[in-house]
Amino acid sequence: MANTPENPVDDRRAVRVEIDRVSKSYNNQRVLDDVSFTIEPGEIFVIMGPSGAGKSTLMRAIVNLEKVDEGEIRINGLDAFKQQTHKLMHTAIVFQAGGLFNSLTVEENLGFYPREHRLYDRKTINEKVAYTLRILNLEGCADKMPSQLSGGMRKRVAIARSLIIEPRLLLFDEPTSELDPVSAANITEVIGTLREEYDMTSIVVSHDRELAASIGERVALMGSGKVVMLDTPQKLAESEDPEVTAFLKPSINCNNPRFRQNLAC
Amino acid sequence: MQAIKNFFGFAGECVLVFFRSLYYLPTLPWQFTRLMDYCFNIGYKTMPMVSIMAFFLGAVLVMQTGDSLEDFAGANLYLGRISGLGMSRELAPLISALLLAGRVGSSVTAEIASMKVYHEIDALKTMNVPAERILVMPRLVAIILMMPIVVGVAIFVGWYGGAMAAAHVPFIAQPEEVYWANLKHVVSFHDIIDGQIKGMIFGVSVILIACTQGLNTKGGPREIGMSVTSAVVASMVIILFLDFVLTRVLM
Ligand SMILES: Nc1ncnc2c1ncn2[C@@H]1O[C@H](COP(=O)(O)OP(=O)(O)OP(=O)(O)O)[C@@H](O)[C@H]1O
Ligand SMILES: [Mg+2]
Repeated sequence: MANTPENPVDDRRAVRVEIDRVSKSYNNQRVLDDVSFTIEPGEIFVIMGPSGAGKSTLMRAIVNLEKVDEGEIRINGLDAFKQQTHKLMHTAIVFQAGGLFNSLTVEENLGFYPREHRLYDRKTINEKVAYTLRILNLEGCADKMPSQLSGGMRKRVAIARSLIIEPRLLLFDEPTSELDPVSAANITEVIGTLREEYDMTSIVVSHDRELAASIGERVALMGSGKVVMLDTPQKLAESEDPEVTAFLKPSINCNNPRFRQNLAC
Repeated sequence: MQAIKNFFGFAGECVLVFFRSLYYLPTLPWQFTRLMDYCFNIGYKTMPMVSIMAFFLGAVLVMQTGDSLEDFAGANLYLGRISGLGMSRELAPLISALLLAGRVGSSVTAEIASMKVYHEIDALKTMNVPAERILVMPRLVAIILMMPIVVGVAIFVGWYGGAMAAAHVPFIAQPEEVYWANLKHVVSFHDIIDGQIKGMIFGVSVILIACTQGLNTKGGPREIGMSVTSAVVASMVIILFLDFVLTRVLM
């Protein structure tokens, strides 16, 4: 464990996340089924998989919003649930739906965490907020309400709000879904470049193959609660495994007469 | 059976939320702006309606008793007493609390429930800012500060409504001075305190139920609406039940 810091809590560096034989059920439906993998400090780890595969559930479990039934999630070696790691280490999550505070302006959304915890004086907080807004190209929106923003801007505000925390672990739940290709590429670029600015481990849940290929260092493909394959994006794309190709290269049924004339079948 | 279980489950949760909020009381000084905001909101939403309701309730009370006491010669002298005690000990806290449940409780539940449904509460949790700390505790303090003012206004406006009715309704036509003299003679400071204690307990219950119900909401927009309805209904039932108990205890 060369990269594990001596003091897992006070160090300000990226964390290691170990998912160890984790299972979880909702009313007898197994949502996570014996999932295990390790995410190295500083890595950008992508989780792909069809809808309902349990990706969001896993993300919520990592930040302690959900308790797992079996197994352990360890962050820098500490049990996420028992030691309430989200209180000890700076972890943040960008929710699938944003999760912005709808009654606060963009500026207040960003300043919420440092103000509530009285981390810095007023001037420093304002500077930090302005700086983060600049990184994400949101300068013009400081005084807008979340409802006045476009989907892509809202996603960027959610990312900005997480960055204020100076996270050592940042989770993104489908950051590019519901976005047009240009905004999606923009968000992908942002996630990819954040590592130069912040020392953090990123976990990105996404259906976006382009995102996985361009910024993912390793990709886990999940299907109905299990990890189907875990490898580099290149290896994943070359895979012949029918379970993998079924997800990565889906095709519309050419035998359906409705589609036949429009598709080059 | 299920209903009883639900009731006790919910009551237990309210108590839990209450104690968790108490735990965050030391953070109150940092939340001064928020507290002022909640106080203003409570006052703004309840004060005008409570005043109007109290005025007419006081007037109607005097009119009804004036009418029914007409057969007993001289009994009209007790109008001040009836309105004085009825308003301060019973009606002012009761209407204030019912209105609070309808206007403030409902909007608190709606706000917290939608924050829950749209993951804002989750976001708060990951930021290590529990909902009890910023959404519940300051509201409880706000209601403890505001309820005495609201109930106090209701009492005095109610008395005044009674005085107006006594003086200006032809079949009573009692000089205001007689009414006030009788009222002052009978009503003691103790009666007003009784009303204030009731009001305070009702107010805290309403806010606690509203917040707990909001935090318990799961699902989507439909569930937000259902939560608001059940919070208001539960508040009203609890108010009337507590009223019965407190009246007995304070007598
Ligand atoms: N609170 C809950 N109660 C009951 N079942 C749930 C709950 N949350 C999730 N599930 C179920 O767990 C399964 C996995 O859900 P999850 O949200 O993790 O999927 P996902 O992989 O994120 O899908 P998507 O790509 O659509 O976001 C789904 O079948 C869902 O019905
Ligand atoms: Mg999901």
